[in-house]
Amino acid sequence: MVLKFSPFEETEFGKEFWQMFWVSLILHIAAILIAAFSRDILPRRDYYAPPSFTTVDLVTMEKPKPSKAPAKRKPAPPKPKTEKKISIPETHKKAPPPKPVEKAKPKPEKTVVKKAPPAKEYSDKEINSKIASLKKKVDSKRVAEQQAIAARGKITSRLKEIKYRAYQDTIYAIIQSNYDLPAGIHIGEEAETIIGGKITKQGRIIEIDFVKQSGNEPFDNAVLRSLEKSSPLPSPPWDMEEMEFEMKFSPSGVKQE
Amino acid sequence: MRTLKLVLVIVTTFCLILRPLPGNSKIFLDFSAPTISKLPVAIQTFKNLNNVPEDAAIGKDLHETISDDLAFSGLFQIIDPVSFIEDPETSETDPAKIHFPDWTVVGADVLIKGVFSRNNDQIKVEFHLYDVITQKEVVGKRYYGKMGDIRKIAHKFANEMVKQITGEAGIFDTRIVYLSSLNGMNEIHIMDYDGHNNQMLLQEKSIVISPRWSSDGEKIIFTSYREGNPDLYQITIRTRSIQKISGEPGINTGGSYSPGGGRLAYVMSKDGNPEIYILDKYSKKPKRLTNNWATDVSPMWAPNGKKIAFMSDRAGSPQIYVMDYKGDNSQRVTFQGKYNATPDWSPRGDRIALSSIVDGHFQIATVKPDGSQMYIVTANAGNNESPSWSPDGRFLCFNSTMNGKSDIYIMNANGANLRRVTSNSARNSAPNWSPSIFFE
Repeated sequence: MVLKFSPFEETEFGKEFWQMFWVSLILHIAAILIAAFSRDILPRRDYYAPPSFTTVDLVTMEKPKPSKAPAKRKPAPPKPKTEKKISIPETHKKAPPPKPVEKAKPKPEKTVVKKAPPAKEYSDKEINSKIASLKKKVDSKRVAEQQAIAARGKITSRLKEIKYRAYQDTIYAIIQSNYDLPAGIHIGEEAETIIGGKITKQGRIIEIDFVKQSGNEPFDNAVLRSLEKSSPLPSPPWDMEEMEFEMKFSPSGVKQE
Repeated sequence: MRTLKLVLVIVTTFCLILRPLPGNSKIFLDFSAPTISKLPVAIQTFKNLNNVPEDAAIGKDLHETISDDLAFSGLFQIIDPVSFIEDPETSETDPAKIHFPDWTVVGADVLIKGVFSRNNDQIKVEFHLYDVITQKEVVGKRYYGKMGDIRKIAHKFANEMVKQITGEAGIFDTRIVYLSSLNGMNEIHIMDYDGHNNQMLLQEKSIVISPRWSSDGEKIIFTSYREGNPDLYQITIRTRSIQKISGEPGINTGGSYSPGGGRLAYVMSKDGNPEIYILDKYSKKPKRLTNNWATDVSPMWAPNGKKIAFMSDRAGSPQIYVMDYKGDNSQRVTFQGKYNATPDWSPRGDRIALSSIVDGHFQIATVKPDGSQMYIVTANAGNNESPSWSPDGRFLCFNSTMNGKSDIYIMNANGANLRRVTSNSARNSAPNWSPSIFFE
C-alpha cells in the first residue's frame, strides 16, 4: 500500500499540516538567524572597563571592603548590648511561665482525684499544644540556623565577588599598561578587535584567538603583542582550572603623532 | 494571523532567554586609549651564505641601508646590535628554530634576519621579519638583483617592513628631483630620497626653474631659458627626450600635473601679468583660471585633483590661496606673515606646506587648507624654501642655506629628524619629491 500524503488536499489534516509547516519553517529560520547573528541581534555583552584605571579608582573600587570592616567593628560594642537585651527578655519570658505553672499546679492538685480523667484529656491537649509550641521553637531555630547559613553564604559570595572584581581591575590595569600601538600605524577610530582565550590558575594567558578581527592586520598584531606581554598575569582568586575571557580592543582615544 | 502572533511571541521569548546573563563565568574586558611608541626592532647582521669574506661588504650595505631607512622613518627604535646574544653565523630563519627569548631579553618586539649570496654580478637576498612577542614570522621576501641593486633591495624590504607594522608602505624607494648649479651650469638631478644614487638628468647653460615629477613618475616638467624665453618643457627620464609644452611670449612656468596626470596647471604672462592656466590632456587648449591685475603663480594640486593651491599678491602681499580647478571659489589661506610662497599640498590632503618669512628669513610652515592651524616647523638659520611632501605625507624636503650654501634637506613634517641629503659642492635647490612608484 502506498502512503498517500498530500498537504495540498483540502482536508482538515492537510490544513493543519500546512499551518504547522509554516510555524516550523518560521521557527527554524528564526533559530538559524539567532544562531548566526546572535552577536548583532542580542543585546551586546557588557565588556567591563573601569571608568578609568588610575590607582585612585582602584582604591575607590576596593573601598567597599574597608568601609564594611570598620562598620562591623563599630557595631561590635553595641552587639553585646543587643545580645544582653535578647538574653534578658528570654530569662524574663522563661521566668514567668514557671510561676503560673507553679500556681496552676496546686490548683489541679486539689482536684487530682476527682478530675483525673478530664485532667488526662486536658493534659493531652496540653501535650499537643506543647508539642506544637516545641515544634514551633525547633522550626524557628532551624529557620534561624538556615538564615545564618544563608547569611554566611551571602558574605562568602560577596567576598568572592569583591575578590573577583579586584582581580579584574588588576588584570585590566596590567593589560592596559601594555596596550601599545606602533608609531605611524594607520587605523581608524572605529576599528575593533575581540580576542578570546583563557586565564589559567597560574595566571597564564592561553588559547588566544580572534573572536573578531578588525581587518587591519598591523592593529590586530599589535593587540596580540600587548596581550602576550601581559602574560603571565597574577594568579586568579578562583578555584577553577581556567577562566575564559573575551577582550575588546579599540584604538579610540589614541594619541596620534 | 494567529499563527504569526504565536511565532512572534515564541521568537521574542527565545531572544529574551538567550540574552547573556551577567555572571562570573567569563571575563569581558574593554580596552581603548592605547599608547603609541616607537617599535623596538633588532636587525641582526645578515648571514653570508657563500661565506666569501669579500662579500661581507654586501651584508654591511644591506644592513646599513635598512637601519638608516627605519631610523629615518622615526617609527622605530633600532636596538644596538652590541647587546645581541644570538650568533648570526649559526642563526636560523625557521621561526621554530629561533630562540625568541634571546631577542625579548634585548628588548626587541620585532626582529629582522637576512641571508644573502653572490654569484658573479648576481645577488640573491632573503629577508625575514619576526614578531618576537608572538614568536611568529610576519613576512619573508626573496629578492634577486645585480650588485648595483643592493641599496634598492634593502629599501624595498624596509618599505615592506613599514607596511607590515603601520599598514602603509614606506617611502624608501622614492626619489627627489632638484636643481644643481655650479660654475654657470644648471643641472637637473635625481637622487634617492636619502641622497644616494644621484644621477644627472639634464645639463643646461641657461637658467632652469622648478623641476617637478609627472604623476606617473616617468617625466619631469621644468622651465628653461634654453631658447631665450622661460618656456615650459618636459623630459622623459628613461629616454631623456625633451618636449616643449608651452612657449608663449612672457613666462611659461610652474608646471604641475594633476593627480592621475589628466590636467596640467601652469603660469603664463602672455596677457600682461602672470596668471594660472590649466591644460587638459585631451582638449589641449589652455583655460585661464585667474583673471586679475595681481600676480598669480605656483599652482599645486590637491590630492583629490579638485582644488589648486597657489600664490597671489592680490591682497597687497604674497599669500597662499586655494581655488577649485575651474578657477572659482578663490579663498585666502594664509593670514600670518607678510610673505608666504611656494605652496605644496600634502598627499594626505590635510595640510599645505609653504615657505614663510619669519624674522627676515624664510622658514617652512604648514597650514590647513581652510587657513587654520598654521605652524612654522623650522627655526633654522638662512633661508628655508620650496617644501615638497613625501608621497606618504609624513616628510618634507626643502632647500636651505642654514649651513651657508644652499642644499637639500629632508625632515619629518613636524620639523623633527632634519637631515641633509646633498653633499656636492654645487648650489642645490628646488627639490620635488617623487610620487610613490616603483623605480627600476
